[in-house]
Amino acid sequence: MLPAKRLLTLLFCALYFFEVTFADSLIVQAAVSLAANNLDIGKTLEQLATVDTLKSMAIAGGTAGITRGISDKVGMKVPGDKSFDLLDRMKYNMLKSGVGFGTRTAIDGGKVVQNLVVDGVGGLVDTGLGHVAEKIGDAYKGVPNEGGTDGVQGTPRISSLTHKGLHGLAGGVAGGLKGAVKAAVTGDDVGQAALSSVVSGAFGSVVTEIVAEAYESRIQEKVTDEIVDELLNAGETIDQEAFEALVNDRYLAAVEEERETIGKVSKLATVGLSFGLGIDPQTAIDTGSTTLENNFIPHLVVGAVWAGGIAWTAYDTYKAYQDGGAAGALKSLAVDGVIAVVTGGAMKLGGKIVKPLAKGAWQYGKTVFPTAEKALEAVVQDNKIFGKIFSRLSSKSEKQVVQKTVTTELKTVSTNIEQNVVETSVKSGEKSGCKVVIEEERSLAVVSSRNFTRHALERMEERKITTTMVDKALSKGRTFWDQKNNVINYVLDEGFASGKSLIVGQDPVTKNITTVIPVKAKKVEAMLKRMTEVRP
Amino acid sequence: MSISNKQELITFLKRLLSLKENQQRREIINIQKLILEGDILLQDVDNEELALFLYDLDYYEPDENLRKEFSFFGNKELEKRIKEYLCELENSRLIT
Repeated sequence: MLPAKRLLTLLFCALYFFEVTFADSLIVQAAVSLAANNLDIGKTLEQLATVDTLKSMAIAGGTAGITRGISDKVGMKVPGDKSFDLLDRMKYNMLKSGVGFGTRTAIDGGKVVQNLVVDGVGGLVDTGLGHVAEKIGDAYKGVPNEGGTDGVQGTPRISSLTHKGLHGLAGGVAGGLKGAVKAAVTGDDVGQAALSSVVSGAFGSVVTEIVAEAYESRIQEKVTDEIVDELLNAGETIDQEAFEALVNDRYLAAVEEERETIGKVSKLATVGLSFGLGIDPQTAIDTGSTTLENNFIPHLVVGAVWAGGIAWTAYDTYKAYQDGGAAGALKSLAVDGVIAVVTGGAMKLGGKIVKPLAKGAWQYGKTVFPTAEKALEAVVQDNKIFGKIFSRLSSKSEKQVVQKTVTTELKTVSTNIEQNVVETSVKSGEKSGCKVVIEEERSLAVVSSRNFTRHALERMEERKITTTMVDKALSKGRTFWDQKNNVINYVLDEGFASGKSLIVGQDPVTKNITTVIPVKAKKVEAMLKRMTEVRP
Repeated sequence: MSISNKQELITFLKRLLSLKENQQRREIINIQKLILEGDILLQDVDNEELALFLYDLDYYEPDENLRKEFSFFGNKELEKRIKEYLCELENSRLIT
């Protein structure tokens, strides 16, 4: 065995060279020790300080880091890369086993043949588990096209519960095999070790999948918001291809940003949940990591491929919805081929193959959905990303349109007033008493830019409000957006001799006056709390 | 018209529900004048909420033809709003 100082120097050089951090294995080892010592922190710290524990940490950290480092340096494909096939998986796992064997033998010593058998079989089992995990993922989320990032075909064939159950089964078999082989070469009870490892392996796979799925929603949430902003800002000026590329990049960046965190949280959750259950945390973590690498991360990356296509479709559908209502939106979806297929399978959309949305929505008009609105609702609810983008586009866009209308309207009023002030100033050079003339002209300027609804005229008559008072409110009042009633309110503070204020409502689109309400000055502010003050 | 506390307001609103369209409209104008234009503050009532409720009622328009000129609301919506507000009133316990 190598002397300790030489060993540590070698290890840290390797860690530095391959840019590996020690923290990950330290955290996991601490959690494993804590579990083994029934949450006794004193004993855990004692154990962490022992040579065996340090060796174990060095092996775990070193193996993971050096494997990653070598694959980076030689350009080897890793799980999650494009077209990562069975042969690539075999190469990757054998590299990992080889590094594991070397690190274990160098640090821990022991019998070379024993280590070789344990790590060699471990590599083969991990290859098998990885392959099975990927197939389970395909059945759950759809199949990546050849080339990895050219699209997705197929529809989910298994439920979430079946998906977790199958991962548990695969993880259990893999854990059991590894445990049995290790027990056989070390002379332990093979049956007992296999049984314990089956349970631990299954546990690790299931917990990891559950944690990872929770993160998937978080990533989708984050990317969806960015997509919606991008769509609304870019609008007509961006073409579909450029937009899809942008969305894909965003999605991939978000996955990349979160993948390490997902791994760490999954490990800690596995260890944390294994407290008191008689689960071997290390076996659970190992199978969980293999499941994560081979199933979850590749399928997340695949998700990015069709996120762009779905986002663009949502935008197209939204525009069609604005023009032709729900029926128009459905027609647009049908033209795109999104709801034309009812039996699952692949379909073409804007150069990409995507999963069909709402299998049954196309049956609109064939008794399933009584109205176009209901059918569109089914489409929106049936696809998570599409639904989120469509809904947020609707709400965000509505706010922007309203804001734009209000701003434009106020600018128009302001311009009218300014123009009349200039005209009046010219006139005032010819006449005396120009102040009065200016007031009159300003009012007239606004009068020409508004009409009254008959409802407003009746209110004015009942409340003894003159057009001059309305115009004064329009020209001098504070302006507030009342989103509940969709009007701009002009508030003329204490505009009456009695000290009352006047609220004049105006439709921002038609400019028609909608109503006039006199209100006691001290009660106005309370009412305005619900509204948003807008300035020209 | 005289309303000074929550109970009287509840009674008024319940009676409002039973009136015909034109009477409803007239009564709404009356209570708006009383509450919004006057100094009166009702006991045991959130007066800010009441002011907003009455302000919103100004967009009630019983005449279907006049409703088309803007998104004014009709009788069903009026009934719904009054019932909702009544429910809030009856369930509220204002701490002052």
